Amino acid sequence: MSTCDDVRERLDDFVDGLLEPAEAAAVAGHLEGCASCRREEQALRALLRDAAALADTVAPPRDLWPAIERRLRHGSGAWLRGLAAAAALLLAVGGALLARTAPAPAPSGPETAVQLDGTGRLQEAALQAAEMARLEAEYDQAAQVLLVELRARQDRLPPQTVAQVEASLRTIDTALGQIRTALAQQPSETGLHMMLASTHRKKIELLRRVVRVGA
Amino acid sequence: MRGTMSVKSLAWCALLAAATASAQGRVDERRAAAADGTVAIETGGGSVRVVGWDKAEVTVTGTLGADSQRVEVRGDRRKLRIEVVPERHDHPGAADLEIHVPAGSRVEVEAFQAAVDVEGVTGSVRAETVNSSITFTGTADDVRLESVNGGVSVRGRSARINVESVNGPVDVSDPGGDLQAGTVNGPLKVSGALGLARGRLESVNGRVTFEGKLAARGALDIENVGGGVDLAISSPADYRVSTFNGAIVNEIGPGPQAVRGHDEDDEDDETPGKELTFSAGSGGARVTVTTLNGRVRIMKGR
Amino acid sequence: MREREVVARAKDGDVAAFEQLYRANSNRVYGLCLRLSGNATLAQELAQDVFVRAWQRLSTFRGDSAFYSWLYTLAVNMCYSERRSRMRRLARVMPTDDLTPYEKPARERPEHGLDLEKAIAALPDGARAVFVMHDVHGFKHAEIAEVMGVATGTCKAQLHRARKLLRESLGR
Repeated sequence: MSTCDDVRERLDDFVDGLLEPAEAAAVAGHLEGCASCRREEQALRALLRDAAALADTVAPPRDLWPAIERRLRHGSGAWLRGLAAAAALLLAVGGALLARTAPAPAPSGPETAVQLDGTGRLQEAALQAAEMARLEAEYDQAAQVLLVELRARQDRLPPQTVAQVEASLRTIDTALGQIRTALAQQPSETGLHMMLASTHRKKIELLRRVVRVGA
Repeated sequence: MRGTMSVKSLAWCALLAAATASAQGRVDERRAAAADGTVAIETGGGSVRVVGWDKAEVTVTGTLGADSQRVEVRGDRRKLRIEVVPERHDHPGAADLEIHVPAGSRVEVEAFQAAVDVEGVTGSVRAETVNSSITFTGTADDVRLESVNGGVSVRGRSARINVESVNGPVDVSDPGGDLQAGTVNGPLKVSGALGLARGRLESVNGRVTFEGKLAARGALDIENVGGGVDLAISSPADYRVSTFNGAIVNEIGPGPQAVRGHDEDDEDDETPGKELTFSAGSGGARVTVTTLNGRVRIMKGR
Repeated sequence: MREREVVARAKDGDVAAFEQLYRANSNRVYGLCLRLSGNATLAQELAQDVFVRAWQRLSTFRGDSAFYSWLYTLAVNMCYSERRSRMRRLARVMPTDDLTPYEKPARERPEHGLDLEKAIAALPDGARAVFVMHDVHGFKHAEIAEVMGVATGTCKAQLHRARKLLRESLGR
């Protein structure tokens, strides 16, 4: 003997044809004599009919083939693009001697022990430039992840807000560019490094804030 | 509650709905609350006013906007959640609400474009908006306010203040011991500081203004990429100011020096950049200002 | 030209042949990506990734099912794993003491007057994935469970939840 609660619990499997014959028969029997459970069954079947009738083909808003073909032919993916970006950054920062980017200037440890001739200075400079580039690449990566999320949730925000956020991001990117230019001229200024780091942080904070809203 | 939709559970749902719904858009809720519990508020538009009082009770009164279904109050006396439920899941619901909370509460507000006004809370206050303003008046342990496009304004000697707006103005008056404030484009103004122990002000393009006194061994750090910085500090301090492309104007002491290029022997090395290090009065507190392009002006304190 | 021949050519590296496969299946793949991700921008990225991956993995297609089915399983796998890694990456850059969780669970309250598409898009992610795969595209529980990396029982529970939430949203 099945109660309404029992039947309701099994209704999904019943409608999907997943019950053992004996169980299915018991449910069917109950449905015959119970108008309210029958209504449940019919509502469920109607939902499933509508779902199955949904178009499973949707044309994308633009032709995706050109982008796909490019990737097939040149074998590039997001991973490679990221590497290329990091390499470009490394070159842009250049080989000048850089202060460390930590809040307090770190003393030269054994890992950066260098010879005092011209070649030695370049070695250390290259190491520090690499570290600087790595830090920026990390910030950029975090920003990228957040930007992907922002794009994914964009429709949940009013278009004007999105436009304002994008304008603010451009302001920050312009500032980052200016700071980098200054760093190229005065690479030993700790103040500039701190400014670069805090401007990056502002960008991350802005993106986090907006991603939280769109959630 | 189980997922079965029996007649009993339908009736229960209806009762619950009636308990939290409001007749004709009016809201009137009341719950017991711990003196130091958490009250979390979530709303879309309109306005929210939160007032701390000395009762162990939270009350919510006000009116719903047309695009709000109801106000839902959930939780227990240690943690209450007040939510304005919108009619449509993809469009914020508005309401004009006044919420009274025990003064020692931890208040958390998430409001998309509702104007937020909090006063008289001594516990902690945290509020975030996107397009609307936030105001806090009072003396709390911890105040954290963030907006993207709205202005943020704080008044009162709270122990720790952290305020940010991307595009809106930030206005802090009579801050207490610990202050962090930042903008991207909006102006940042701090006034009436009395014995600020630690301050950190940052902007990308907004003008930063600071007027007041620092604690005897206080520290104030200001960083601005493109915007200007105006200081009027009326307590003794040691200043270290540097700018890479901007100007430094000192009305209370010596002028700046050009920064020596990193290659002193190269006369063609034209790095711009100015630096200024001096002490006002007996010194003691530390003021550091760094800008990229912004002009720094040091004025007499009031 | 029959599909088998087109596939054979594509396996040999004939990009024009692969384009034919793309043209024949792009709308179905995009439709699936759109419903699973709930977002058009992401769906376009995902659909591209699916075809690029299909090209890379073409040698593993043995032709014992229709190309479309194989492509489909690939698409579902990618949408789901992409989402998992996206959430992992996001978790790393979001602080843990946020005011609201960055992945707020969808409301479990009825929102009235939505049409079915909107109601599906408003479902919580797990429930939506199972519903779309089972009730829109006809996958079986065992297949879905394998793709999602969960037990069949979890799958059924998600489906039950999705159907319940949908009926509430639609007022049926």
